[in-house]
Amino acid sequence: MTQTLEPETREDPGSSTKDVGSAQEERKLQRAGIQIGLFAAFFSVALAVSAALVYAVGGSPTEVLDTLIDGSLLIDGAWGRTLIDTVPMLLVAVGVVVAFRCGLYNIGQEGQVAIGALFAVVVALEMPGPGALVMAMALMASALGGGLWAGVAAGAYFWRRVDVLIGTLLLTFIAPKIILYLTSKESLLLDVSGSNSRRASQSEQLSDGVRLTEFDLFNNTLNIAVIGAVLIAFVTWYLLSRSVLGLHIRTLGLNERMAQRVGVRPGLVGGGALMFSGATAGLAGGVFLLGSAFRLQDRIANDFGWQGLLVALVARLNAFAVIPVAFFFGVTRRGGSSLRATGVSSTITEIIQALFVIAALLPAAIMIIRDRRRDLRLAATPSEVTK
Amino acid sequence: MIDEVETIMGSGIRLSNLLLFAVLGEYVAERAGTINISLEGMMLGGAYAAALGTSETGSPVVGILCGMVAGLLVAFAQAHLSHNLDANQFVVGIALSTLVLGLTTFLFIEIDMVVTRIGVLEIPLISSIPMIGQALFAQRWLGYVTFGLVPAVWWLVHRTNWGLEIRSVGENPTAADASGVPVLKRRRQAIYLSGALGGLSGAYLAVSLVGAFSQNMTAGKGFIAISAVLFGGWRLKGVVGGAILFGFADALRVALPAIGVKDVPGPFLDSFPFLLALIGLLVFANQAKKPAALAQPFVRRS
Repeated sequence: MTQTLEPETREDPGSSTKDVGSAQEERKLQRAGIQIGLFAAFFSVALAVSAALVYAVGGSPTEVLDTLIDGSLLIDGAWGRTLIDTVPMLLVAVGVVVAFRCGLYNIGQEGQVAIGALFAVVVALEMPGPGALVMAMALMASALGGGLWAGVAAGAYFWRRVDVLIGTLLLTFIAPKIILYLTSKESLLLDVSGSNSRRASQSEQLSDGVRLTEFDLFNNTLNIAVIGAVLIAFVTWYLLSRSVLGLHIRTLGLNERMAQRVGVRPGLVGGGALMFSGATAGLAGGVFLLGSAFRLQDRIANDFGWQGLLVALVARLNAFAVIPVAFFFGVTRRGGSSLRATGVSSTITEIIQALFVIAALLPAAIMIIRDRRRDLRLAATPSEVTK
Repeated sequence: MIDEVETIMGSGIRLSNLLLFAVLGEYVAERAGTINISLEGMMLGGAYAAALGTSETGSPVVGILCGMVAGLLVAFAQAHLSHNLDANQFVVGIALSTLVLGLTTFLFIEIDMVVTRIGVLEIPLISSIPMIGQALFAQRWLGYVTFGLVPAVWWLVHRTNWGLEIRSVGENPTAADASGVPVLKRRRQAIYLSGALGGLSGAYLAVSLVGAFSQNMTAGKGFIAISAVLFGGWRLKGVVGGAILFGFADALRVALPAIGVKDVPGPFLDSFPFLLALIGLLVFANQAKKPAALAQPFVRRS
């Protein structure tokens, strides 16, 4: 995101006049207005393209929209399930924000989610003790697992400069195969109970005691992870934008050499940020396992990693904005599963999500181009600035 | 024994070819300064379009051209978003790859395809060389294109003016810009080439290797191709070597069970190419030859 750091091009060459303050304030407001307008316009275009696709395959866009909203918000108990689906994506996205802001392109969340779930299932199945304690330990183990998996990529980067993007990505393809292996061996995690007579590659089901605590709210069932995830998002947002550590992380992301000059240790801060992003992804896997899936199999990550990554990108790497965006993704995801009745494939929701990422990119890009053109104009005719 | 070597060779050459198409394009894109993450999307889009084109017209040649056009379309989006609108190239790549995966899955369910595979072209005499003859000289004809493509890319990048400019915008865009090279344009052109070859790679997968399209059929091969470029240290010899190595690693997955080796667990074989790529990068990572401006956006400063 280096292109956002262009202080010298933003500066007004004619800033010597007195009313510059209010003029700048006005310009700032104007810029915000234009940007919001552009966001609205591009998101509308993305929705229109998706609607056209639905129409092209013979579906009805309005029916699809109705089904999406009914299935995710309006029918009994729906918004509770949507919120529960939102949580893993929110957790993943919070980690993405921290890593990307630090300039480390961790895009292997899908694998980190899976390894998190693996660590959680081992603790949840093997550890003796009261259910609540086991649950807490399993969640911590999931964060540890995801963090370590991202830590492999962090080590490869800070030790041998293996590109983080490629390292995390390659690890993502390995993770589900490890789980497949572990869940297909009788001596390891394979479920050998009578209910799995076909010996499908999956672990035993978790007992009720270790599952996430649930509670009812306005006739919807939620679990404690919903509250936890929002808290984590808030704390991360606060730390990233208001604390020294956050400043260090962001400085490192903008310019590694400058960060070193002000005393940031890239390996420590960067490695930490990368492992934190792995940890939240792992936690997402733990939450999904203990709250919804209840047993491990190789497809446990279930696209939560990829979609969480997209959430952070649509939210323009803002740890606060990821909350509503994750909820929006939760709506499309949950609603998508009830699309079958309309005869339109639920993949349309993935298309909407990808188009939204592109739509979210464009306003900032256009603003930068607009600024650059203005600066070039000002540089060409400096006398006009001071009027 | 000879049969077994031939099985592995045949499978290895086919999968290496698949990677080579994609890798050669990615090599040019990276020399010009872009890590083209949308390669996976270009390949998948190419595979889909090639299968669809072949199915609709009955001609694999038309299908292959459709595949290249699909790759070019993705390249067009990647190039203009990242080297014209200045959006982050990784974010664009992730979004485009996701979009293509979504689109091909969405549209595939709606259409039934009948894909004719392209024909085998056996070169007499040399195809009867033991062990390697059948693998190299009795391929489906698209495979032979790689024989010409490697020197062609070498010539293009290292012996033409255009290639010099491509390398210069990847090393020092500011200096290139000062000497009149259109930096963003060259970077976009490199991505177009990558898109056409990525699409060709996908087409090879659909109409030569498999003879069908299936959901997410590239399954990470685009990312393996990107790893091959990094593994090869951004030098053509290394890059081609990387493609062949990873191609053969992938071939073991198919070939080992076929020749009766059943002791190696399937999940290990499935993850072997990715594991090998990671270890290869760890051991052979050579940052010294990395294009200096790789993955850095170019902004002209006054």
